[in-house]
Amino acid sequence: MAKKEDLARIVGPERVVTEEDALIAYSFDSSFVKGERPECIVKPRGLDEIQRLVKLANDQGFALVPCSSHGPHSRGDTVPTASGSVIVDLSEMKAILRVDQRNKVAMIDPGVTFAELQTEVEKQGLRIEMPLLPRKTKSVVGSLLEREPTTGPKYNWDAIDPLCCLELVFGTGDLFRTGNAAGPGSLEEQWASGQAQKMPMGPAQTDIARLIQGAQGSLGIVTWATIKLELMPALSKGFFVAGQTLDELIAFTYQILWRKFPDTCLILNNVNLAAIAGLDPKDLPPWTLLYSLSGLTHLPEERLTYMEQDLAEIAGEFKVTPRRNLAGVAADRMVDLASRPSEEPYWKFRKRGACQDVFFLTTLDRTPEFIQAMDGLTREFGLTRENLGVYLQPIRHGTGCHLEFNLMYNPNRPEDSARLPALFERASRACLDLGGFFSRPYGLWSELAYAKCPDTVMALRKVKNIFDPRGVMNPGKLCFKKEA
Amino acid sequence: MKLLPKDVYRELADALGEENISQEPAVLDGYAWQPAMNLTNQKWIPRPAAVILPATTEEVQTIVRICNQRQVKFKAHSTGWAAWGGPSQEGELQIDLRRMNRILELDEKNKFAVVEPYVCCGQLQSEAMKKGLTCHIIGAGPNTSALASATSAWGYGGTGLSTGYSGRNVLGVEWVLPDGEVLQLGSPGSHAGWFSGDGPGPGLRGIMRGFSGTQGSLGVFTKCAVKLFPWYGPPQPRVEGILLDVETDVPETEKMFFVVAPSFKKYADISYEIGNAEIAYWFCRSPLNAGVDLFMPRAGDRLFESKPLRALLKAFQHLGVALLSSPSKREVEYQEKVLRKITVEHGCILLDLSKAPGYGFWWWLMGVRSIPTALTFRAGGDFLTSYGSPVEYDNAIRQAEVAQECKQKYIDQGYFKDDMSDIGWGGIYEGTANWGHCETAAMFDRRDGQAEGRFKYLEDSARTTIEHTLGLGLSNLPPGAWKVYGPQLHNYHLWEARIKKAFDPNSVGDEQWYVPSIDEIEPKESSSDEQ
Repeated sequence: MAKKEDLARIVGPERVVTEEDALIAYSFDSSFVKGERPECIVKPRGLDEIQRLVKLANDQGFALVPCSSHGPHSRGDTVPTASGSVIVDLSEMKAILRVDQRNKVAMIDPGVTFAELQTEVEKQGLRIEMPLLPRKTKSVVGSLLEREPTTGPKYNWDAIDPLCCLELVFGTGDLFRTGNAAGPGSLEEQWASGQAQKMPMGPAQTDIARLIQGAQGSLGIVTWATIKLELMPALSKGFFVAGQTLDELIAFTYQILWRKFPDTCLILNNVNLAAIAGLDPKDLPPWTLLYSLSGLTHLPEERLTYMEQDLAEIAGEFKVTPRRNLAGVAADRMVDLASRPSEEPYWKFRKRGACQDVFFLTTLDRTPEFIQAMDGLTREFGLTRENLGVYLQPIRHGTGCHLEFNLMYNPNRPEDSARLPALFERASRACLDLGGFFSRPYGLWSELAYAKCPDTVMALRKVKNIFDPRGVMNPGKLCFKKEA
Repeated sequence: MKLLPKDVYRELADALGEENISQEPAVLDGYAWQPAMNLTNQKWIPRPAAVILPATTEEVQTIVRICNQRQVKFKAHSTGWAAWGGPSQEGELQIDLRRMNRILELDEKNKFAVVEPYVCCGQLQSEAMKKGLTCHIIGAGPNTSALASATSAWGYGGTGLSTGYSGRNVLGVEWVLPDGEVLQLGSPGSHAGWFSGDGPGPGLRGIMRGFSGTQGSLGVFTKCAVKLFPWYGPPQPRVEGILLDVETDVPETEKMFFVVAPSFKKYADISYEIGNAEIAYWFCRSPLNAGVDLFMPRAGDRLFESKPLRALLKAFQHLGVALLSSPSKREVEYQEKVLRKITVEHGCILLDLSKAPGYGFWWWLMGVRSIPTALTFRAGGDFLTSYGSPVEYDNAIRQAEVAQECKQKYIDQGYFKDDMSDIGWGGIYEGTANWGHCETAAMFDRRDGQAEGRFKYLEDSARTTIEHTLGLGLSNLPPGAWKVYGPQLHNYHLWEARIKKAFDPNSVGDEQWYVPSIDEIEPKESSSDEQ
């Protein structure tokens, strides 16, 4: 159990929160993960305080649950599993430490949100690749540490992108910097030599950032990160391609990804497109591909012209029709919406007030199998098709696809709330059985996903034992259950 | 010559068959000739105690388990390029993976291939081209294993602007750990296909490799999926001739240029511009004197003796080769227009190679195959390489500048062949990312007995890398370098040593190019662990 006076000595008494309401708010979220009420919430201001907190946790044997976004949370990863846990709230660490325009990279604290970072980097003609309409309070670092997919597969070379280097404190209390940020030289010396901590690999023969990514705070706490940015295009044009079937859009999407044309590129069903654009799903085709083309620094109009001409030919071959408007909404507006955090209410909650997501990785060509299975299941559970959102996000140049089902429901309707947990579990199991790869296993998914890969579990437990041997970092998550 | 104990040899022979194991001296000597990056004053690397050729993952597992039971160190190699592919001491078992040579899957739509260790990049590329795809090929050439650079070694290649870096192109992996257990990284571990290498949860690719791989210290990789990239050229290019005497037809929508900048700074500037403009299939620095030295070393010797000709070559020091590629004539025309605009704005010269003699040769060997195989051996018989950290490109170009000065001193003393010093090659990689590398090779004749001077150069290049803050480059990671650099970089070596202990409890994986177990580095820590 943490001694509050010791915590207060580290962060200051005013930054130790013990109000009951605040603690209860952290003991659950909108997921089905059951948790414990934390002992308190601490709000450190920087590396030194975080390092001292981790060392204290090791000395006194209490658990730390790092949390970089303001709520509402929805995955269960910040809900404490161990009693007496201390929430390490990083959401007030909000410094944008550096923006390097030439190298297109920013260094930020863990509490910086997408909107805050975007506002700042826009001043230098840059932009951040972001997930599809993240909620306003979502931390950039938190999102990227969780491998949330971004909407531009062209710029997504590797699963870690656009996350670059990290400064972090391991569960042992040791400080580490990953990638080129490790050195040689101080950060200042590196900046003077033209470096910008953009290369995530290493140092040397190990890639610690890759281990921390996806760890749900179970290996350490990140104190700053560098983020890869892209140029703000001089010109941008959005396009819709409507499809009665998904197959016709998938074939076309593969082709335009092969040509490396689109910046934004994603597919939504009518429910999700309607939720984002504020439309009625009945006015929309079942499936819509949204993509954008950009003109860059040099000859932007000419770039758009050749791309549009080439795309018109490709569209003809694939018998699809790119259009600039759909049901009265301009594709440009949709691209703009998809490039910013969601307005309130959060887009997934607009239709019914609440939403449970089932998401995993697969390949684009396999998505129809999962969608068919999910259609059947939602019917079985009495969830109408108008309440099932589907989002397909090609990742890593199209070598994989994030497939996300959004089960929209009314939390105030007892029958909705009663059937959702069972539907969620059945849907998760069905997708797993069909070969969905739950690469980000939250809550129930951790049991399902790790049951399929005992070799991975063994390896991960060795890793946990190295970086957090006393198990103080967010215990009980992933495959790090008590019996481990 | 140290051979395997007879009973160990017998056990291995019984498991894999007599025909798949050997300790014939002549066979073993074949494995001990690894001149590249042999950082000793010996001509040979240590001879293996036996060589064994598994054909399946299960056979690899069997071998590794026997090595654990019998306390025999092992070293696996696939195509076996350079000293790190061989044992670092006598008495080790060489696992030669050449029988594992299949392309198991080539997924055209999702742009990846699943390969076994002995599939070389040229072989994979030839198959991929038929589907409109290509693979990343490292600077060591198309004869190298696609799996090895992805899982275990470095990974720079000329086409990196479009095809990235080997270590970042890995998807699913199958890995026989040093204790004999099989670990499948990412989606294959969950029976979900090979399209992803990270998860569930933390990315275990992070212990597999960083900027460099562990060069076989952490087990044996038996399969891996690598990303493939769009190929816009013909599906089966018609190539006539062999080696350096090839000719082929270049498609109308592929165009190659020399871009000549007036200074290091301007060269960096145009590199940033090309990346930001999202043009070009590849853009890679290659000083003209380097080309002369590599492609026609005898003529180069004569040319370098002439002051006027040296001056002429010096004018082409800041030379980059740009290849524009698209299935669309419109796109190539647009790219050429932008390239011309950028070069003019930065005071550079653009030379259209399409009218030059040997255009097909350049396009095929450089643009498509990445680099002619083993070219770097031609000038002196052997070479070493230095600098070359993966870094923002301003800093990479600074490395060429510092390397030029450092290397010249050693050329003047006769330790390296005179090639005008700056032959720093390396490009911008991953499209708009603005990172890249620039490494400087140095050519020499191993028979001249001047190894000490060359070691001093390596030390000097590592020292200047630190002094000028040029990243952790190729000259900073030879065997034992962790002793110097670990303490400067958050003691990374201690974390690696703990990983080594956890995954290789019997220390049977040759650790020469990685780190030893924490038990050897900090015995106090391991004894307190045990308490």
